[in-house]
Amino acid sequence: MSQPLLFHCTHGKEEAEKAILPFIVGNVAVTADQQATIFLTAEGVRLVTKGYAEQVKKEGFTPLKEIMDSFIANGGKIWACGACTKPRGITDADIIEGAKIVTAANLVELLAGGAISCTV
Amino acid sequence: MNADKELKASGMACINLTPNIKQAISSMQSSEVLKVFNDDPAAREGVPAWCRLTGHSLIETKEISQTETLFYIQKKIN
Repeated sequence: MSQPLLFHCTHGKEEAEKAILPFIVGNVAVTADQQATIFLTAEGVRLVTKGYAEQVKKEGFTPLKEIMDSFIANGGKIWACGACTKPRGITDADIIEGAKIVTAANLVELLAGGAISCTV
Repeated sequence: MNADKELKASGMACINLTPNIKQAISSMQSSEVLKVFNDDPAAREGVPAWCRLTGHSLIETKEISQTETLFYIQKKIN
């Protein structure tokens, strides 16, 4: 296994394709035995609120919920930026199992530790 | 070539092909061979990359038309 991979996602259902793509690549990564984390910021943090991923669909793409479930089941991590969840009123009680709210320090630690960041 | 298991992956592409190969191979024994049929030409790049990443062996690739391919993947020894 090589360096951890980080995929950044900034969109929610208002831009379904941009919301789904990081999860597609992340899911391919974890099912290729790689360590992958998806870091959600801005509207992207809504993706891990309960019942939200089910609403994110784009013609020609696998529904987000299905990809997200596979990503988590294969060991992928989903981090929601605390600076973005707070103003939206999103707390730990609102988010799905397998995701967590983190701080910028967590992101910096991951990157400083050698993670490779990718925007898709 | 003989295979121990087959995956008919017509219509699968970048989004779900290798995750489905992973799922199929996970229930197999070491050294067993998975035969994968796919009709996405880009898979001829993607499947070898997935094998390099995971350590499974792509032991044969048969291009049976412009788009259709058979992949024979041998599960790695754990």
